[in-house]
Amino acid sequence: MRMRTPLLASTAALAMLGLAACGSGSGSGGSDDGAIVWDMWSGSQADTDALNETLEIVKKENPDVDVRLQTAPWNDYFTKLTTNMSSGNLACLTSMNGQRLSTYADAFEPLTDADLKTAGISRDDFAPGALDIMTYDDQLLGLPFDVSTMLVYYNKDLIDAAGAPEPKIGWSFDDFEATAQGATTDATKGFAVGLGEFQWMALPIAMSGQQPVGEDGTLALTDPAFADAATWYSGLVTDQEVALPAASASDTGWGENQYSGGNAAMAVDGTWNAVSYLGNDAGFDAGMVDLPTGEAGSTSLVLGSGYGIAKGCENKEAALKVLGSLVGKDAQDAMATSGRSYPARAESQPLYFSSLDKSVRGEVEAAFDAAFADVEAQRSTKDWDKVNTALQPDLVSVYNGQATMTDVLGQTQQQFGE
Amino acid sequence: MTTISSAGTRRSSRSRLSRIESRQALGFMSPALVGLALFTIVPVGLSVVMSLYDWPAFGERSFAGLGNYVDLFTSNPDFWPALRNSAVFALLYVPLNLVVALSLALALGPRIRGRAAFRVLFFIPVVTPIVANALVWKMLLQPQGLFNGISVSVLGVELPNFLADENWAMTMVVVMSVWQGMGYNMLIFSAALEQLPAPVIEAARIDGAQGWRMLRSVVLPMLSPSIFFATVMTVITALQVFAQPQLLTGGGPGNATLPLVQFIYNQGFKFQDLGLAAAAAWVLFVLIIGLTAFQFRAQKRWVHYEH
Amino acid sequence: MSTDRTDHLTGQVATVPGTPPLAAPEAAAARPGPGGPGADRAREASAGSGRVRLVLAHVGIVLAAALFALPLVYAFFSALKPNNEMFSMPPTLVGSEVRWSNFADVFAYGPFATYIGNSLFVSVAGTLVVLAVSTTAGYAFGRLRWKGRDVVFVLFLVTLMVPQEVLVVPMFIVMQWFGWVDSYQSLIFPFAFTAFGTFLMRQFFRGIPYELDEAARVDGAGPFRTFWRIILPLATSAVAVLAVFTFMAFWNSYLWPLISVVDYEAHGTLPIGLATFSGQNGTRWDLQMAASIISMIPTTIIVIALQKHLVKGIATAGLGGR
Repeated sequence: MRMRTPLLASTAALAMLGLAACGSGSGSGGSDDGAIVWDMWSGSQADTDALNETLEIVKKENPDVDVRLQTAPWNDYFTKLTTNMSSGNLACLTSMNGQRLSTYADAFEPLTDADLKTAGISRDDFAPGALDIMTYDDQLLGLPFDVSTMLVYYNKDLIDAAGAPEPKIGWSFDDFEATAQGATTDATKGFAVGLGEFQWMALPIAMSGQQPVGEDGTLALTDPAFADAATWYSGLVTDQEVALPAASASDTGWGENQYSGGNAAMAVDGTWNAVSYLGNDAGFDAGMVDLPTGEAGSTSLVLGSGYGIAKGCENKEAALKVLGSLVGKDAQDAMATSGRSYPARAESQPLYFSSLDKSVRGEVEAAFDAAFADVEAQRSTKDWDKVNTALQPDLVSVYNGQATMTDVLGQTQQQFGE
Repeated sequence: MTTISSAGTRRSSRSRLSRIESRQALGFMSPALVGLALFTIVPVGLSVVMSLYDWPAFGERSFAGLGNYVDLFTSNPDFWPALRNSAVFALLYVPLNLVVALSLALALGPRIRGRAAFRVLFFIPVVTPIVANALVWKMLLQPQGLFNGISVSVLGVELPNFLADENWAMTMVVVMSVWQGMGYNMLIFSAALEQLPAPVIEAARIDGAQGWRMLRSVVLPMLSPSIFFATVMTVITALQVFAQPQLLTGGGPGNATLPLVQFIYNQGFKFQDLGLAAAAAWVLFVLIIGLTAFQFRAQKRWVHYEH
Repeated sequence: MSTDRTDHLTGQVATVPGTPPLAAPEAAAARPGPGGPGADRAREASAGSGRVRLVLAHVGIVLAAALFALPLVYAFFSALKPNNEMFSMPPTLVGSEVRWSNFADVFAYGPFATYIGNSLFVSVAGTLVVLAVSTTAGYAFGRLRWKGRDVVFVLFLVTLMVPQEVLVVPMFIVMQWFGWVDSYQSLIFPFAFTAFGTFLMRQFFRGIPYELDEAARVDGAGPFRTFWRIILPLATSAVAVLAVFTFMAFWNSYLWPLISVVDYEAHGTLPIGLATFSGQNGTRWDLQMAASIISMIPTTIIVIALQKHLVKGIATAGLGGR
């Protein structure tokens, strides 16, 4: 039996050798049968059904290409992506959220003008700023399918009951404070602070007119204007007491849940949730406006998601054609008509509003028009994901009064600022 | 490991038989050995290799020697806190888990009505999906939650924001984990109690041992093998804790409840630094083996085997 | 439930050579229950405060049980609430309406019937593999004598200490070598060879008197026959414990299925289904709770059905630390 131990040891040693030999194997097509795999996040059956509808459009436009859809739940999509990347199993067409693009940039093939031509796509097809979503380090790494920006959502019933002034398009931060304070009562708060990346950063950015990343792509959390605005933001909880401290760092959707649960009169969230807030379960009358205008004018970021071609994709040309169809007119029209997302393609955008109920259509369109009027591209650093992962649990301490915003921003800047 | 060496009592003049048995043993063991080699030894070997490389999820990998280990101990700002948190969690969780499990097992004596039903109840959190457990505990513990609601209306005292307060978050992770995981040990202790020899207990009682003294000087020593077993297993699970803090506190506030395994998970799956993650995993692995070996050494001092 | 103290005595038999281990506790359980043995009566007479203490014990246990049950009750009622009332202030146990439809909606939300089917298949198949592997290996470790046995056993034990999160990425690479990515095999085999089962069965087998093997050998039975016909039938309680623990581990396993499954609609398991309720646009808490309750049903049934065997099995398997 003494034989066994060396045998096991040598098996392991062999495995290591084998591994060292193929030390840097990188991505392949991810499928053995030559099919183009389209990797996308999806939760419910309804989500998947909508994706399958898009898939039908793609197949109709590319009868000669075999396309296959694979999905994972949103939260786990990126966990799986890491495994797929590290095992050279990345799908040719990989969906990517613009905010996380910098982390995964290495995995995507930059798109050239020739590529766009193959895909049958022109840059002018997209709404202004939309291509920035999938651009990192001056390279276009994919094409966007939806665009979004942050809005203030409000509960008309709570605001009316408290007699607070209703938010209006083009409002200022003084107006915002007046509403937040006016709507704060014993039972409910005027505002709910966010923990998610732009759910919290949007207001400080709008107030200071300053992104936490400099134009040269370096982290600028301690930029005085931004830091002051961020301190004001956490002060909504600790000084003005118009918002509750978050209960746990694992509640990524803290503010949004408070709002949709009817516990707070206002919250910041993306345009992607406009439809679900309008038809909210709680049955309150919901409204939406653009972010308040700061002293430096109105500043908001264009966000969104898109599809990129993975490096090492074996059939790039076919993948490009599929990509062209995925963000093509028919697919975008279908997405807009279903009201699921606000499309990135300019000419498809009006269809989104026509999917809405007549009673809210005008209001939503006005809010979207105002919010998208002068959006700027989101600047990002290589470590942006890490920065946010580090900030989120620290924010909880700030809201709970056990750390100051200045300290937290300072430490994070020091850790990731290079 | 002292438990191992007692079986072969009549070993003398049996070498031929033992050779035959060796061959038979190989037959019986082969499925387990093959499986273990393929599905444990090989991946473990791979992870050792990974820990020696600068291994991003995508792109060039380069040999880094012990660089990842050096990084962990010298420059990574979260590694020491994570190590500390895992240690603090284990120090709080293991004793609390054992005491609660043992107390319940003792309390659920033969004369308790419906003890079977109680045992099932205390065991059910073990089989409940952790996602649901964490969500419910969050709803109970938040300032607008049930506990604070009761405290304010009955006592007029405002409770802290448990999961967001750096002084309380770890305590609550421990409490929730004990609630969720104690059932295993309670079953083990219940089983051991069923085995206690009645005459010994009676004899002690006639000698006048009662209550606390009976427990301390008679029952606990007789239970010590199962307490030992439960301790070893619980220390291992405590050091591997991940889902409870991940879902309950997200490792926060700050990094107050970020344990080592969550650190590893973040490095690997969120930041794509698989080499660093593997290195941290090996630190954890060595820690667990060391502690377990220590416990086996130390058991002579307090564990009483009957033969 | 065996309630008398004498089975503490006979339970001990499992480690005393010369007596068949399992027959005895079963016989004991069959005897009349509470208050039967003279030992108990004598004790009640001698300790005057016994009754008071018994009442106190009941009160204490009921209190502890209430504390333990509270989150479970809360979880159950949360599963019946409308989504927006999960975080309503002040919190309520029962929502504004009782929505039994949440349970039906779970199945409309995604392919939950498939998830349940997959989980059942994988858990049952995985449990069978674990039982086969663990009983044979446990037999080799516990009842056969061979050189290096103890060293190999320690190696086995050490693998218990590797955290699963550590192995996930290398394991995925191994699955690629085998071409097993996105398959039932990859859900069943990789974690079916952990040492826990072998450890448990070894502990149990060591308590069985060796005379039984000798007798079998004299009768001309080969080693496998001895194992299959003589030893294994004595181990039913220990096998039951292993089956329950293994089934639960497979049933609740999350990280590995998440990584190794590509096509969730084909090979997804229940814990993955639970994760699908958290999306980019927020979380369907109501359905997540309802699905959690649904996923508890099989394991809870198994625990209730086997609870008697669980305690007895742990005792006779010597998991209590022999």
